[in-house]
Amino acid sequence: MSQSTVLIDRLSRWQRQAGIIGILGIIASAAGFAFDRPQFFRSWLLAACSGPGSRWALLAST
Amino acid sequence: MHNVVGGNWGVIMRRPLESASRTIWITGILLAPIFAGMAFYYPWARPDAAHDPNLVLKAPYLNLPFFAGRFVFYFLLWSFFAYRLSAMSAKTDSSSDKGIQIRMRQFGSPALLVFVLTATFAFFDWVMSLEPHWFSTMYGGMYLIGQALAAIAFVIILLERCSDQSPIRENLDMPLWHNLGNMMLAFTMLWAYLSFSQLIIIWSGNLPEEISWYLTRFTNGWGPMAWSVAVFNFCVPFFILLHRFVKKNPKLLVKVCIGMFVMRLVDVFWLSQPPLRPNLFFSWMDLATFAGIGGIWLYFFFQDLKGRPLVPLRDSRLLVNRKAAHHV
Repeated sequence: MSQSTVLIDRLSRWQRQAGIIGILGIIASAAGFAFDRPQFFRSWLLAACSGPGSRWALLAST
Repeated sequence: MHNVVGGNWGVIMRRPLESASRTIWITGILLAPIFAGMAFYYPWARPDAAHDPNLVLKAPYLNLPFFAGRFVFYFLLWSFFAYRLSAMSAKTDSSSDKGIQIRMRQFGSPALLVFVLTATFAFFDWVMSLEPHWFSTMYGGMYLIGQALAAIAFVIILLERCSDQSPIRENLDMPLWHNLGNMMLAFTMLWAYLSFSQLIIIWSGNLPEEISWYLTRFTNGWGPMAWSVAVFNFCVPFFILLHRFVKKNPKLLVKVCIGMFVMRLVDVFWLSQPPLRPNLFFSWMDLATFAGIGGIWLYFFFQDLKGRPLVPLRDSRLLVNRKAAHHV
């Protein structure tokens, strides 16, 4: 069973796009931290508790 | 969970789920900035907590050094589980030893129990203790099942986007899509069961220290969001997923999953934000932090996913291996 190079290229493209969005988001968040710290804290907790999928995935894959 | 209960349905999901769980250390790093705002988030971390008899009683558990220690412990333990299981899973690519699957089940059973227990306490720590006077023993389970639902929705979306290429193409047939849809339906019902149970118990008890949690979430603009969570996170997907033709059609199933994924974010907003913003409002920073954290996490997730075969090649439950065994 071969692994399609098209699929690997597609994953690489998504990875690049995610990285760019992530860096831009972090830069914008850093600006937010400088200008409005309470709002930064509210938004950061929200994103940290809802965004990454690792904890959910660990439950499903255990 | 798949290692414990077995079945054919989870084999195709395993590698994306393993890659997601192997990046759990990233989520620990991304969550760490909350330590810079402890006094902002948590009433028990403020100096005036010493004058609140209720918080003084809870201080042996809700104090900064113990909170930080638990935070580190959770992520170390979960990383150990994730790497141990995925290392055993990787061995199945090069060996057809049936004993590996048995060892994965033997390790997965206690790991699942410990994970659910520690994750429950983690959500008590990070989210429930935003309102330290309120408590619910169901809270952790409710939060955890909701997040498992989001994980399944995310993986179904990913699989559909990859289903035109090998090795996903030849390992996903209509019965498997149907099974994945049934998983979504089961977790949707379980989430609704836990959420409604908590509501009905607190409503029937009608105790001031308990109902305050719901009063906060049904007033000052939060009411419509509460109703939207009930309708679009349960009622609508429940009735849609009851239909077999939806679960057997990947394009339709993905639309339901995208809707569920968005509603999971709305639900987390509704659960976590009312103590931090008593009147409902949105900020551009909600989007910026979500893009930042989500983008960075996805970057590492795809990096890990590319590094290994996208399906466990020699697993006898994989569709192509089942077909080959049938022909033999």
